[in-house]
Amino acid sequence: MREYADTMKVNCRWLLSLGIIAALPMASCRKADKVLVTEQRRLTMADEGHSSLLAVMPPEWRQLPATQFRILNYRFGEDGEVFVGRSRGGILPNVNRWLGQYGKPPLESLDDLPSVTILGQQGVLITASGDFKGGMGRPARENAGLAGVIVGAGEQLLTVKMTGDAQEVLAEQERLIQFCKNLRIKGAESK
Amino acid sequence: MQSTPSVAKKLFAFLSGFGLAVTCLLLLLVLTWLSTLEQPAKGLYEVQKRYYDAEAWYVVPDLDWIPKINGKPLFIPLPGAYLVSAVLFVNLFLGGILRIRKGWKNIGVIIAHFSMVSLLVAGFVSHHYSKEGIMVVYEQEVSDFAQSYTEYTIEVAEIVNGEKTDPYVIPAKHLKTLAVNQSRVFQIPDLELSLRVSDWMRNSARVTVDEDDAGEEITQVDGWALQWLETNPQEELNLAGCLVEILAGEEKKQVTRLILHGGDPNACTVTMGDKIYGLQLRREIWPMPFQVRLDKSVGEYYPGTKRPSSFQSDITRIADGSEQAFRIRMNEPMRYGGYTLYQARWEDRGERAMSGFAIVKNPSDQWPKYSLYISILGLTIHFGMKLGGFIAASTKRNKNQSATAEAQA
Repeated sequence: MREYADTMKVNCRWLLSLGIIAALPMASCRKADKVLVTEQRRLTMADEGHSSLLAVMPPEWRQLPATQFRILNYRFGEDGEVFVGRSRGGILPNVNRWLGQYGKPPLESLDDLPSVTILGQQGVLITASGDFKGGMGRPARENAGLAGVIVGAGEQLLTVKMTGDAQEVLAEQERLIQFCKNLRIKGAESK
Repeated sequence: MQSTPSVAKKLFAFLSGFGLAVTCLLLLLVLTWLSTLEQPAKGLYEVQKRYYDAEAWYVVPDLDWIPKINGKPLFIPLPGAYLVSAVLFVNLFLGGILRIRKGWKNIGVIIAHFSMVSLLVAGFVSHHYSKEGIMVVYEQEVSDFAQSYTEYTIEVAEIVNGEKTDPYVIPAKHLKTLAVNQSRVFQIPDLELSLRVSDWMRNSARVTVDEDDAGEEITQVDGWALQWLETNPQEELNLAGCLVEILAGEEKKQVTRLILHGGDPNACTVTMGDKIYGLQLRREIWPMPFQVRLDKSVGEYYPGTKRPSSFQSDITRIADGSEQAFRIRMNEPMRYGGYTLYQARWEDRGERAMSGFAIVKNPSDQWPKYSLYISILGLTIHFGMKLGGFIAASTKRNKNQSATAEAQA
């Protein structure tokens, strides 16, 4: 009888221990409203991104998610936009299309446009200001500004377009030119 | 004089009893059956979460044929499978190992009980410590990471000269548990910033809104807003979304806010001082200690469908400066360094074939197999002893009968 009682005592201690062990995870189930983040992972091929371009963005801009027509997509100031895209057709028709959006007459040639170094080539810089007629999903706007660079990239064109308030665009123009100069193709950046 | 058993003794007797064991086993049978019936409509992820998660204390089956009262389905709460398994573990441990009469006669039964306990421990370890993801590789390409099917994390990384640095990761468990109208603050001391995450949506779409006409009821940032979408039963198709406020300084002052969406191909940035940080909501990235190059991927579709009937991949595993060739086929995985690679997907749309490898790291991967071996050993010993005893008793009885017959003759 005594032996049985001793065995039961031991068993009950086991039971108590198991209860405590089981209660521990339950106590930690509630998620805190403040969490300290220290977990870090190393870079992998997943971090190389979808774009073949490597851009150094000015700290004054903010990057937004890329879209179907915007390989790189940025915002600056209140509602200024900068985006890198691809286009087809010649450089002159695209320049004239952009100028037409601001009610400007088309150019006969590209000779008078200033050049900007981009991807190791000379692209053309287009600037305009006035009333934006609207288009490509954007509403019409008064006193709008444009600064953009177009360069040939294989069979396509690479375009870097900045739009927004005319004064803001003018103020950001130097950063745009610097951004274009720093734009590189991944893997070829150190050459 | 016989004393009345104490409450602890009564509790012990209940927890280690046969009745509880049978109840637990029957409940597990019912839960497995009901969850299987619910799976086609609700999806595997949802059903696993409702029936088998550690936090699913109880489950109310949601099936069309459950009787309705006043148009509402009958409320039949059942204990969650995790809870039932935990009770069964306690029951087997107390009854089948501690309480059982010890001795050589019972050694087989004790071993068999131990195998069942170890099987439940394997399930516990797998539930809490195993990890699973998918590595997608196209022919002649290399990959060094797997990605979770369903778990979203927020990554925060400093961007230096246009290049991302090692990101800090906000784990999925802190995001997916965010309720509607609940927010959670995450402090990243090394980057000296904090984030407040709110408006968590399990499935959402990023939509453009007119910034001037959006109104106060729509949270819009830079002309974007999140639209709530019905949860897809196929969890891997859901695209999570959330609102993030960037907080700085001791007083946690809001610097700016961002909308993050699981479908975004790249990070959104925020500048603090002279530093640029990129934030991205993405399915958890899982770096591998090896690279996989897909040398050849072949397979076949069922006629008239895009469902693969068979597939296999010739790969090269690149690790520690050495390369080793492997062939991965259905039911023939590659194991390396605690990781198991099964081929789970195959696709060939003309240009290049693609193989998807399910990668599993489970510390208890082989434990069920070992538990089964232990169980076989225990039951073999037990049946062997019973058979031996029966044969010995029969032989003795026959001898006695023969001796009696001879004596009578």
